[in-house]
Amino acid sequence: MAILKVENLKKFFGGVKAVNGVSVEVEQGEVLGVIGPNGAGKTTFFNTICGVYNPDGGKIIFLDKEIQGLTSFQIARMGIARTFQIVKPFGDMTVLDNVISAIGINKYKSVWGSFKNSQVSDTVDKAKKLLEMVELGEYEKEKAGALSLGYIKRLEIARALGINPKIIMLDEPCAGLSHDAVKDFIQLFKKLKKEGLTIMMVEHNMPTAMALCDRMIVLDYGEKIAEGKPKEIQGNKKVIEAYLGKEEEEDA
Amino acid sequence: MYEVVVAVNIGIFTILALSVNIITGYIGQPTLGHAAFFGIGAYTSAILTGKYGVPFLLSLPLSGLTAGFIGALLGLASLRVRDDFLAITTIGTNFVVVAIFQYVPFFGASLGLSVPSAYIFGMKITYLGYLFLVIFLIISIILFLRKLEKSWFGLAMGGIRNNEGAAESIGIDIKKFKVVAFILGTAIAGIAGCVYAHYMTFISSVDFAFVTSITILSMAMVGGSGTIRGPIMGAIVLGLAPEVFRFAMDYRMLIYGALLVFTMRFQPEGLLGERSFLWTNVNKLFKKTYSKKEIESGM
Repeated sequence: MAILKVENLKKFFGGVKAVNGVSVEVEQGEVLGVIGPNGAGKTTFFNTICGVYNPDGGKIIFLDKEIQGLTSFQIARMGIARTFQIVKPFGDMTVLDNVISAIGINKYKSVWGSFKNSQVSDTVDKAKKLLEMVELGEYEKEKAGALSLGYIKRLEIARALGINPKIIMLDEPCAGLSHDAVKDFIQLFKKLKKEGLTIMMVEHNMPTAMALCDRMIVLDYGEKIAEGKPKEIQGNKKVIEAYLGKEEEEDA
Repeated sequence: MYEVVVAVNIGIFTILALSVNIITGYIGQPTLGHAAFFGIGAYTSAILTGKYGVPFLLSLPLSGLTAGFIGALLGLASLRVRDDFLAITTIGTNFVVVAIFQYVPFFGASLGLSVPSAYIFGMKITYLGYLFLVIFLIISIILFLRKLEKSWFGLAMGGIRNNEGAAESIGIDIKKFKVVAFILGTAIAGIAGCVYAHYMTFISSVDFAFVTSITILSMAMVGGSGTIRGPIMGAIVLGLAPEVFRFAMDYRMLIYGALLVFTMRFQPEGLLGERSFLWTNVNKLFKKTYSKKEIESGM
Protein backbone atom coordinates (compact mmCIF):
# COMPACT_ATOMS: atom_id res chain seq x y z
CA MET A 1 0.00 0.00 0.00
CA ALA A 2 1.29 3.43 -0.91
CA ILE A 3 1.49 5.56 2.21
CA LEU A 4 2.51 8.69 0.34
CA LYS A 5 1.59 9.53 -3.24
CA VAL A 6 3.02 12.53 -5.00
CA GLU A 7 1.34 13.38 -8.29
CA ASN A 8 2.82 15.78 -10.80
CA LEU A 9 4.23 18.06 -8.09
CA LYS A 10 5.40 21.49 -9.22
CA LYS A 11 7.25 24.25 -7.44
CA PHE A 12 8.56 27.27 -9.30
CA PHE A 13 10.64 30.15 -8.04
CA GLY A 14 10.01 32.87 -10.60
CA GLY A 15 11.32 31.34 -13.80
CA VAL A 16 13.21 28.56 -12.07
CA LYS A 17 11.37 25.28 -12.21
CA ALA A 18 12.82 23.77 -9.05
CA VAL A 19 10.38 20.85 -9.03
CA ASN A 20 8.64 20.27 -12.33
CA GLY A 21 6.03 17.58 -12.45
CA VAL A 22 7.50 14.90 -10.19
CA SER A 23 5.36 11.88 -9.37
CA VAL A 24 6.30 9.14 -6.97
CA GLU A 25 4.70 6.61 -4.65
CA VAL A 26 6.19 5.58 -1.34
CA GLU A 27 5.21 2.16 -0.07
CA GLN A 28 4.65 1.37 3.59
CA GLY A 29 7.90 0.29 5.19
CA GLU A 30 10.24 0.98 2.30
CA VAL A 31 13.28 3.18 2.04
CA LEU A 32 13.05 5.52 -0.91
CA GLY A 33 16.18 7.41 -1.91
CA VAL A 34 16.00 10.74 -3.70
CA ILE A 35 19.24 11.44 -5.49
CA GLY A 36 20.45 13.81 -8.13
CA PRO A 37 23.23 16.28 -8.86
CA ASN A 38 23.57 19.58 -7.02
CA GLY A 39 20.66 21.91 -7.66
CA ALA A 40 18.45 19.13 -8.95
CA GLY A 41 15.62 20.21 -6.64
CA LYS A 42 15.85 17.44 -4.05
CA THR A 43 15.58 19.65 -1.01
CA THR A 44 12.86 21.76 -2.64
CA PHE A 45 11.01 18.53 -3.36
CA PHE A 46 11.25 17.63 0.33
CA ASN A 47 10.28 21.10 1.51
CA THR A 48 7.25 21.15 -0.76
CA ILE A 49 6.03 17.83 0.60
CA CYS A 50 6.60 19.01 4.18
CA GLY A 51 4.64 22.21 3.64
CA VAL A 52 7.54 24.64 3.90
CA TYR A 53 6.61 25.74 0.38
CA ASN A 54 3.18 25.85 -1.16
CA PRO A 55 3.24 23.78 -4.37
CA ASP A 56 2.41 25.50 -7.66
CA GLY A 57 0.70 22.42 -8.95
CA GLY A 58 0.09 18.75 -8.38
CA LYS A 59 -1.18 16.69 -5.50
CA ILE A 60 0.34 15.17 -2.39
CA ILE A 61 -1.76 12.36 -0.97
CA PHE A 62 -0.79 11.04 2.44
CA LEU A 63 -2.85 8.20 3.88
CA ASP A 64 -5.62 8.93 1.35
CA LYS A 65 -5.82 12.61 2.29
CA GLU A 66 -4.70 15.48 0.11
CA ILE A 67 -2.20 17.51 2.09
CA GLN A 68 -0.85 19.99 -0.43
CA GLY A 69 -1.25 23.57 0.76
CA LEU A 70 -1.34 22.69 4.44
CA THR A 71 1.19 24.41 6.69
CA SER A 72 4.21 22.46 7.81
CA PHE A 73 3.06 22.12 11.41
CA GLN A 74 -0.23 20.59 10.24
CA ILE A 75 1.64 18.16 8.03
CA ALA A 76 3.91 17.24 10.93
CA ARG A 77 0.83 16.59 13.03
CA MET A 78 -0.44 14.17 10.38
CA GLY A 79 2.70 12.09 10.81
CA ILE A 80 5.40 13.29 8.45
CA ALA A 81 8.64 13.97 10.28
CA ARG A 82 11.82 15.40 8.86
CA THR A 83 15.41 16.33 9.49
CA PHE A 84 17.29 19.17 7.88
CA GLN A 85 20.23 19.33 5.51
CA ILE A 86 21.58 22.28 7.47
CA VAL A 87 20.95 21.18 11.04
CA LYS A 88 18.40 23.07 13.09
CA PRO A 89 18.75 21.95 16.69
CA PHE A 90 17.16 23.89 19.57
CA GLY A 91 20.68 24.93 20.54
CA ASP A 92 20.17 26.53 23.94
CA MET A 93 17.92 23.74 25.20
CA THR A 94 19.12 20.44 26.61
CA VAL A 95 19.35 17.41 24.37
CA LEU A 96 16.56 15.80 26.38
CA ASP A 97 14.26 18.83 26.06
CA ASN A 98 14.85 18.84 22.31
CA VAL A 99 13.29 15.42 22.09
CA ILE A 100 10.61 16.04 24.72
CA SER A 101 9.38 19.10 22.85
CA ALA A 102 8.65 16.88 19.85
CA ILE A 103 6.75 14.33 21.89
CA GLY A 104 4.35 17.12 22.82
CA ILE A 105 2.71 16.81 19.42
CA ASN A 106 0.55 13.99 20.76
CA LYS A 107 0.08 15.52 24.20
CA TYR A 108 -1.73 18.71 23.33
CA LYS A 109 -3.91 19.78 20.43
CA SER A 110 -3.66 23.55 20.54
CA VAL A 111 -2.00 26.32 22.49
CA TRP A 112 -4.60 26.25 25.23
CA GLY A 113 -3.83 22.65 26.08
CA SER A 114 -0.11 23.31 26.18
CA PHE A 115 0.02 24.79 29.67
CA LYS A 116 0.31 21.30 31.13
CA ASN A 117 3.53 20.05 32.68
CA SER A 118 5.75 18.43 30.08
CA GLN A 119 8.20 16.79 32.45
CA VAL A 120 6.05 13.81 33.34
CA SER A 121 7.67 10.43 33.68
CA ASP A 122 6.18 8.62 30.67
CA THR A 123 7.19 11.46 28.36
CA VAL A 124 10.68 11.75 29.82
CA ASP A 125 11.11 7.98 29.60
CA LYS A 126 10.07 7.95 25.99
CA ALA A 127 12.51 10.75 25.18
CA LYS A 128 15.30 8.91 27.00
CA LYS A 129 14.53 5.75 25.05
CA LEU A 130 14.78 7.63 21.78
CA LEU A 131 18.08 9.15 22.88
CA GLU A 132 19.38 5.70 23.78
CA MET A 133 18.39 4.54 20.34
CA VAL A 134 20.48 7.22 18.64
CA GLU A 135 23.19 6.67 21.26
CA LEU A 136 23.02 10.11 22.80
CA GLY A 137 21.80 8.93 26.18
CA GLU A 138 24.84 10.17 28.05
CA TYR A 139 24.51 13.68 26.60
CA GLU A 140 20.91 14.26 27.65
CA LYS A 141 21.79 17.15 29.95
CA GLU A 142 24.14 18.89 27.53
CA LYS A 143 22.98 21.86 25.54
CA ALA A 144 22.13 20.70 22.03
CA GLY A 145 24.20 23.48 20.50
CA ALA A 146 27.34 22.15 22.18
CA LEU A 147 27.23 18.81 20.36
CA SER A 148 29.27 17.97 17.28
CA LEU A 149 27.61 17.91 13.88
CA GLY A 150 27.29 14.14 13.76
CA TYR A 151 25.57 14.09 17.13
CA ILE A 152 23.26 16.93 16.20
CA LYS A 153 22.20 15.03 13.10
CA ARG A 154 21.38 12.04 15.26
CA LEU A 155 19.58 14.28 17.72
CA GLU A 156 17.46 15.58 14.85
CA ILE A 157 16.52 12.01 14.03
CA ALA A 158 15.53 11.38 17.65
CA ARG A 159 13.52 14.60 17.64
CA ALA A 160 11.80 13.63 14.40
CA LEU A 161 10.97 10.20 15.83
CA GLY A 162 9.52 11.97 18.87
CA ILE A 163 6.43 12.95 16.91
CA ASN A 164 5.70 9.26 16.30
CA PRO A 165 5.85 9.66 12.54
CA LYS A 166 4.42 7.34 9.92
CA ILE A 167 7.10 8.47 7.53
CA ILE A 168 10.40 10.19 8.19
CA MET A 169 12.19 12.31 5.62
CA LEU A 170 15.93 12.60 6.04
CA ASP A 171 17.56 15.44 4.13
CA GLU A 172 21.20 14.50 3.52
CA PRO A 173 21.81 12.80 6.86
CA CYS A 174 25.45 12.11 5.99
CA ALA A 175 26.42 15.49 4.56
CA GLY A 176 29.49 16.89 6.25
CA LEU A 177 30.07 13.84 8.43
CA SER A 178 33.42 12.18 8.97
CA HIS A 179 33.99 8.65 7.75
CA ASP A 180 33.41 7.19 11.22
CA ALA A 181 30.27 9.24 11.75
CA VAL A 182 28.88 7.96 8.46
CA LYS A 183 29.52 4.41 9.64
CA ASP A 184 27.67 5.14 12.88
CA PHE A 185 24.82 6.61 10.92
CA ILE A 186 24.51 3.50 8.77
CA GLN A 187 24.22 1.41 11.94
CA LEU A 188 21.48 3.67 13.23
CA PHE A 189 19.75 3.65 9.88
CA LYS A 190 19.61 -0.12 9.84
CA LYS A 191 18.00 -0.02 13.28
CA LEU A 192 15.32 2.36 12.01
CA LYS A 193 14.70 0.15 9.04
CA LYS A 194 14.30 -2.88 11.26
CA GLU A 195 11.60 -1.06 13.19
CA GLY A 196 9.61 -0.95 9.98
CA LEU A 197 9.72 2.80 9.56
CA THR A 198 8.96 4.26 6.15
CA ILE A 199 11.90 6.44 5.19
CA MET A 200 12.46 8.94 2.42
CA MET A 201 16.03 10.12 2.13
CA VAL A 202 18.02 12.61 0.10
CA GLU A 203 21.58 11.41 -0.10
CA HIS A 204 24.65 12.58 -1.95
CA ASN A 205 27.00 9.83 -0.97
CA MET A 206 26.31 7.26 -3.67
CA PRO A 207 27.73 4.14 -2.02
CA THR A 208 25.72 4.88 1.13
CA ALA A 209 22.56 5.55 -0.82
CA MET A 210 23.02 2.40 -2.89
CA ALA A 211 23.51 0.33 0.21
CA LEU A 212 20.58 1.70 2.19
CA CYS A 213 17.74 2.33 -0.23
CA ASP A 214 15.19 -0.18 -1.44
CA ARG A 215 14.24 2.03 -4.33
CA MET A 216 15.41 5.34 -5.72
CA ILE A 217 14.25 8.20 -7.82
CA VAL A 218 16.68 10.47 -9.58
CA LEU A 219 15.96 14.16 -10.05
CA ASP A 220 17.65 16.47 -12.50
CA TYR A 221 16.61 20.07 -13.20
CA GLY A 222 13.46 19.45 -11.19
CA GLU A 223 12.34 16.47 -13.23
CA LYS A 224 12.34 12.80 -12.42
CA ILE A 225 14.66 11.12 -14.88
CA ALA A 226 14.77 7.63 -13.44
CA GLU A 227 13.18 5.36 -10.87
CA GLY A 228 14.01 1.87 -9.78
CA LYS A 229 16.18 -0.44 -7.68
CA PRO A 230 19.69 0.85 -6.87
CA LYS A 231 21.22 -1.64 -9.31
CA GLU A 232 19.01 -0.43 -12.14
CA ILE A 233 19.79 3.18 -11.36
CA GLN A 234 23.50 2.50 -11.39
CA GLY A 235 23.39 1.42 -15.00
CA ASN A 236 20.82 3.96 -16.19
CA LYS A 237 22.23 6.00 -19.05
CA LYS A 238 20.27 9.16 -18.25
CA VAL A 239 21.49 9.11 -14.66
CA ILE A 240 25.10 8.77 -15.67
CA GLU A 241 24.62 11.65 -18.08
CA ALA A 242 23.06 13.80 -15.40
CA TYR A 243 25.97 13.21 -13.04
CA LEU A 244 28.86 13.16 -15.48
CA GLY A 245 27.54 15.03 -18.51
CA LYS A 246 27.09 13.79 -22.07
CA GLU A 247 30.04 12.50 -24.02
CA GLU A 248 29.77 15.18 -26.72
CA GLU A 249 29.93 17.86 -24.04
CA GLU A 250 33.05 16.34 -22.63
CA ASP A 251 34.67 16.39 -26.05
CA ALA A 252 33.80 20.00 -26.66
CA MET B 1 10.20 55.64 53.98
CA TYR B 2 12.64 56.44 51.22
CA GLU B 3 13.69 52.81 51.16
CA VAL B 4 10.11 51.65 50.73
CA VAL B 5 9.52 54.06 47.86
CA VAL B 6 12.63 52.81 46.07
CA ALA B 7 11.72 49.19 46.79
CA VAL B 8 8.22 49.52 45.34
CA ASN B 9 9.66 51.17 42.26
CA ILE B 10 12.14 48.35 41.82
CA GLY B 11 9.34 45.87 42.42
CA ILE B 12 7.21 47.36 39.65
CA PHE B 13 10.14 47.26 37.28
CA THR B 14 10.86 43.67 38.30
CA ILE B 15 7.36 42.75 37.14
CA LEU B 16 7.97 44.63 33.89
CA ALA B 17 11.34 42.98 33.29
CA LEU B 18 9.83 39.55 33.95
CA SER B 19 7.01 40.29 31.53
CA VAL B 20 9.17 41.56 28.68
CA ASN B 21 11.31 38.48 29.20
CA ILE B 22 8.41 36.26 28.11
CA ILE B 23 8.48 37.93 24.71
CA THR B 24 12.20 38.54 24.21
CA GLY B 25 13.74 35.86 26.40
CA TYR B 26 11.42 32.89 26.09
CA ILE B 27 9.97 33.09 22.62
CA GLY B 28 12.75 35.25 21.19
CA GLN B 29 10.80 38.09 19.61
CA PRO B 30 12.43 41.52 19.87
CA THR B 31 10.18 44.10 21.44
CA LEU B 32 11.21 47.68 22.09
CA GLY B 33 7.83 49.10 22.98
CA HIS B 34 6.95 47.36 26.20
CA ALA B 35 6.33 50.64 28.05
CA ALA B 36 3.28 51.15 25.83
CA PHE B 37 1.52 48.27 27.58
CA PHE B 38 2.75 49.47 30.96
CA GLY B 39 1.04 52.73 30.05
CA ILE B 40 -2.12 51.10 28.72
CA GLY B 41 -2.51 49.31 32.04
CA ALA B 42 -1.91 52.52 33.98
CA TYR B 43 -4.35 54.61 31.94
CA THR B 44 -6.98 51.86 31.96
CA SER B 45 -6.98 51.74 35.72
CA ALA B 46 -6.78 55.53 36.08
CA ILE B 47 -9.87 55.93 33.91
CA LEU B 48 -11.81 52.99 35.31
CA THR B 49 -11.30 53.99 38.93
CA GLY B 50 -11.25 57.76 38.41
CA LYS B 51 -14.09 58.22 35.94
CA TYR B 52 -16.25 55.17 36.52
CA GLY B 53 -15.60 54.36 40.14
CA VAL B 54 -14.51 50.79 39.51
CA PRO B 55 -12.87 49.31 42.63
CA PHE B 56 -9.11 48.76 42.50
CA LEU B 57 -9.29 44.99 42.92
CA LEU B 58 -11.45 44.78 39.79
CA SER B 59 -9.52 47.32 37.76
CA LEU B 60 -6.26 45.46 38.43
CA PRO B 61 -7.20 42.42 36.28
CA LEU B 62 -9.07 44.64 33.83
CA SER B 63 -5.89 46.65 33.20
CA GLY B 64 -4.10 43.41 32.46
CA LEU B 65 -6.86 42.30 30.12
CA THR B 66 -6.88 45.59 28.21
CA ALA B 67 -3.11 45.59 27.79
CA GLY B 68 -3.23 41.91 26.81
CA PHE B 69 -5.93 42.58 24.23
CA ILE B 70 -3.89 45.32 22.55
CA GLY B 71 -0.82 43.11 22.97
CA ALA B 72 -2.66 40.45 20.97
CA LEU B 73 -3.01 42.94 18.12
CA LEU B 74 0.73 43.59 18.23
CA GLY B 75 1.26 39.85 18.35
CA LEU B 76 -0.81 39.43 15.20
CA ALA B 77 1.28 42.11 13.56
CA SER B 78 4.42 40.28 14.65
CA LEU B 79 3.42 37.33 12.48
CA ARG B 80 3.99 39.42 9.38
CA VAL B 81 7.29 41.01 10.34
CA ARG B 82 10.46 39.54 11.77
CA ASP B 83 13.59 40.50 13.63
CA ASP B 84 14.65 44.09 13.03
CA PHE B 85 11.38 44.91 11.30
CA LEU B 86 9.46 43.67 14.31
CA ALA B 87 11.72 45.75 16.57
CA ILE B 88 10.84 48.87 14.57
CA THR B 89 7.14 47.96 14.61
CA THR B 90 7.18 47.73 18.40
CA ILE B 91 8.99 51.07 18.68
CA GLY B 92 6.28 52.55 16.47
CA THR B 93 3.59 51.07 18.71
CA ASN B 94 5.20 52.76 21.68
CA PHE B 95 5.21 56.17 19.98
CA VAL B 96 1.63 55.83 18.78
CA VAL B 97 0.35 54.87 22.23
CA VAL B 98 2.25 57.71 23.90
CA ALA B 99 0.94 60.16 21.31
CA ILE B 100 -2.63 59.07 21.99
CA PHE B 101 -2.15 59.61 25.73
CA GLN B 102 -0.60 62.98 25.04
CA TYR B 103 -3.12 64.46 22.62
CA VAL B 104 -6.50 62.87 23.33
CA PRO B 105 -8.38 64.92 25.97
CA PHE B 106 -10.11 61.79 27.29
CA PHE B 107 -6.70 60.62 28.52
CA GLY B 108 -5.93 63.97 30.11
CA ALA B 109 -3.76 65.00 27.15
CA SER B 110 -0.59 66.82 28.13
CA LEU B 111 -1.90 67.54 31.64
CA GLY B 112 -1.83 63.88 32.55
CA LEU B 113 -4.31 62.17 34.82
CA SER B 114 -4.55 62.12 38.56
CA VAL B 115 -5.38 58.72 39.91
CA PRO B 116 -7.53 58.08 42.98
CA SER B 117 -5.97 56.18 45.86
CA ALA B 118 -6.54 52.47 45.85
CA TYR B 119 -8.55 50.70 48.50
CA ILE B 120 -8.52 47.01 49.25
CA PHE B 121 -11.51 45.86 51.37
CA GLY B 122 -12.16 49.43 52.35
CA MET B 123 -8.61 50.06 53.51
CA LYS B 124 -6.42 52.60 51.77
CA ILE B 125 -3.18 51.06 50.54
CA THR B 126 -0.18 52.64 52.24
CA TYR B 127 3.37 52.74 50.90
CA LEU B 128 4.12 49.62 52.86
CA GLY B 129 0.92 48.09 51.52
CA TYR B 130 2.14 48.68 47.98
CA LEU B 131 5.37 46.95 48.87
CA PHE B 132 3.46 43.87 50.01
CA LEU B 133 1.19 44.02 46.98
CA VAL B 134 4.16 44.19 44.63
CA ILE B 135 5.95 41.35 46.41
CA PHE B 136 2.79 39.27 46.25
CA LEU B 137 2.49 39.93 42.52
CA ILE B 138 6.15 39.11 41.89
CA ILE B 139 5.88 35.82 43.76
CA SER B 140 2.72 34.89 41.85
CA ILE B 141 4.42 35.69 38.56
CA ILE B 142 7.52 33.69 39.50
CA LEU B 143 5.38 30.68 40.40
CA PHE B 144 3.50 31.06 37.13
CA LEU B 145 6.72 31.36 35.11
CA ARG B 146 8.22 28.31 36.79
CA LYS B 147 5.18 26.30 35.71
CA LEU B 148 5.39 27.86 32.28
CA GLU B 149 9.05 26.91 31.78
CA LYS B 150 8.28 23.26 32.48
CA SER B 151 5.11 23.16 30.41
CA TRP B 152 4.66 22.22 26.78
CA PHE B 153 4.11 25.90 26.19
CA GLY B 154 7.57 26.63 27.57
CA LEU B 155 9.21 24.01 25.37
CA ALA B 156 7.34 25.26 22.33
CA MET B 157 8.52 28.79 23.04
CA GLY B 158 12.08 27.46 23.29
CA GLY B 159 11.68 25.74 19.95
CA ILE B 160 10.41 28.90 18.30
CA ARG B 161 13.20 30.97 19.87
CA ASN B 162 15.84 28.62 18.50
CA ASN B 163 14.49 27.83 15.07
CA GLU B 164 11.03 28.46 13.70
CA GLY B 165 11.41 26.00 10.84
CA ALA B 166 12.42 23.17 13.12
CA ALA B 167 9.65 24.07 15.57
CA GLU B 168 7.07 23.80 12.80
CA SER B 169 8.52 20.48 11.71
CA ILE B 170 7.56 18.97 15.05
CA GLY B 171 4.01 20.25 14.87
CA ILE B 172 4.25 23.54 16.75
CA ASP B 173 1.78 26.14 15.55
CA ILE B 174 4.23 29.04 15.84
CA LYS B 175 1.70 31.74 14.97
CA LYS B 176 -0.64 30.91 17.82
CA PHE B 177 2.18 30.50 20.30
CA LYS B 178 3.63 33.88 19.36
CA VAL B 179 0.33 35.67 19.81
CA VAL B 180 -0.31 34.01 23.17
CA ALA B 181 3.22 34.88 24.34
CA PHE B 182 2.58 38.52 23.40
CA ILE B 183 -0.72 38.43 25.30
CA LEU B 184 0.94 37.04 28.43
CA GLY B 185 3.84 39.49 28.36
CA THR B 186 1.74 42.56 27.71
CA ALA B 187 -1.02 41.61 30.17
CA ILE B 188 1.50 41.33 33.00
CA ALA B 189 2.94 44.72 31.99
CA GLY B 190 -0.60 46.10 32.15
CA ILE B 191 -0.99 44.86 35.72
CA ALA B 192 2.30 46.54 36.63
CA GLY B 193 0.94 49.72 35.04
CA CYS B 194 -2.18 49.61 37.20
CA VAL B 195 -0.15 49.32 40.39
CA TYR B 196 2.17 52.10 39.23
CA ALA B 197 -0.72 54.47 38.49
CA HIS B 198 -2.29 54.15 41.93
CA TYR B 199 1.05 54.21 43.66
CA MET B 200 2.13 57.43 41.92
CA THR B 201 -1.40 58.95 42.08
CA PHE B 202 -0.51 60.90 38.95
CA ILE B 203 0.45 59.68 35.50
CA SER B 204 1.36 61.39 32.27
CA SER B 205 2.42 60.13 28.88
CA VAL B 206 6.16 60.76 29.48
CA ASP B 207 6.21 57.98 32.11
CA PHE B 208 5.62 55.44 29.35
CA ALA B 209 7.88 56.82 26.66
CA PHE B 210 10.39 54.88 24.60
CA VAL B 211 13.10 55.46 27.21
CA THR B 212 11.08 53.42 29.69
CA SER B 213 10.86 50.58 27.17
CA ILE B 214 14.63 50.63 26.85
CA THR B 215 15.05 50.60 30.64
CA ILE B 216 12.77 47.57 30.97
CA LEU B 217 14.51 45.69 28.20
CA SER B 218 17.95 46.58 29.62
CA MET B 219 16.95 45.13 32.98
CA ALA B 220 15.98 41.82 31.37
CA MET B 221 19.11 41.72 29.23
CA VAL B 222 21.63 42.80 31.88
CA GLY B 223 20.21 40.35 34.37
CA GLY B 224 20.09 37.49 31.90
CA SER B 225 17.19 36.99 29.55
CA GLY B 226 15.45 33.65 29.23
CA THR B 227 15.68 32.99 32.96
CA ILE B 228 13.55 34.04 35.92
CA ARG B 229 16.43 35.06 38.20
CA GLY B 230 17.97 37.27 35.50
CA PRO B 231 15.31 39.94 35.04
CA ILE B 232 14.82 40.14 38.82
CA MET B 233 18.54 40.72 39.30
CA GLY B 234 18.58 43.20 36.42
CA ALA B 235 15.71 45.20 37.86
CA ILE B 236 17.41 45.34 41.25
CA VAL B 237 20.85 46.31 39.90
CA LEU B 238 19.64 48.86 37.38
CA GLY B 239 16.91 50.06 39.71
CA LEU B 240 19.34 50.64 42.56
CA ALA B 241 22.17 52.06 40.45
CA PRO B 242 20.69 55.57 40.14
CA GLU B 243 20.14 55.63 43.93
CA VAL B 244 23.50 54.19 44.88
CA PHE B 245 25.34 56.57 42.59
CA ARG B 246 23.38 59.55 43.86
CA PHE B 247 26.60 60.95 45.37
CA ALA B 248 27.92 61.17 41.84
CA MET B 249 24.75 62.96 40.77
CA ASP B 250 26.16 64.57 37.65
CA TYR B 251 27.68 61.38 36.39
CA ARG B 252 25.13 58.80 37.36
CA MET B 253 23.57 58.43 33.92
CA LEU B 254 27.11 58.01 32.61
CA ILE B 255 27.76 55.20 35.07
CA TYR B 256 24.39 53.66 34.27
CA GLY B 257 25.14 53.68 30.56
CA ALA B 258 28.64 52.32 31.06
CA LEU B 259 27.20 49.48 33.11
CA LEU B 260 24.99 48.53 30.19
CA VAL B 261 27.84 48.66 27.70
CA PHE B 262 30.14 46.60 29.88
CA THR B 263 27.64 43.85 30.57
CA MET B 264 26.80 43.52 26.90
CA ARG B 265 30.47 43.47 25.98
CA PHE B 266 31.74 41.09 28.65
CA GLN B 267 28.65 39.16 29.74
CA PRO B 268 26.29 39.08 26.77
CA GLU B 269 24.29 36.33 28.45
CA GLY B 270 23.60 38.70 31.34
CA LEU B 271 24.80 38.70 34.93
CA LEU B 272 22.85 35.59 35.92
CA GLY B 273 22.20 34.09 32.50
CA GLU B 274 22.90 30.50 31.65
CA ARG B 275 26.70 30.00 31.49
CA SER B 276 27.44 33.50 32.78
CA PHE B 277 30.51 33.92 34.98
CA LEU B 278 28.52 34.66 38.10
CA TRP B 279 25.94 31.92 37.71
CA THR B 280 28.48 29.23 36.88
CA ASN B 281 30.43 30.05 40.01
CA VAL B 282 27.39 30.24 42.21
CA ASN B 283 26.44 26.82 40.90
CA LYS B 284 29.92 25.46 41.58
CA LEU B 285 29.74 26.77 45.12
CA PHE B 286 26.47 24.97 45.77
CA LYS B 287 27.14 22.03 43.55
CA LYS B 288 26.52 19.42 46.21
CA THR B 289 23.16 20.71 47.31
CA TYR B 290 22.25 21.32 43.71
CA SER B 291 22.77 17.77 42.58
CA LYS B 292 21.02 16.44 45.67
CA LYS B 293 17.98 18.45 44.79
CA GLU B 294 18.06 17.08 41.30
CA ILE B 295 18.03 13.52 42.54
CA GLU B 296 15.10 14.27 44.80
CA SER B 297 13.05 15.75 42.00
CA GLY B 298 13.83 12.69 39.95
CA MET B 299 15.39 14.59 37.09
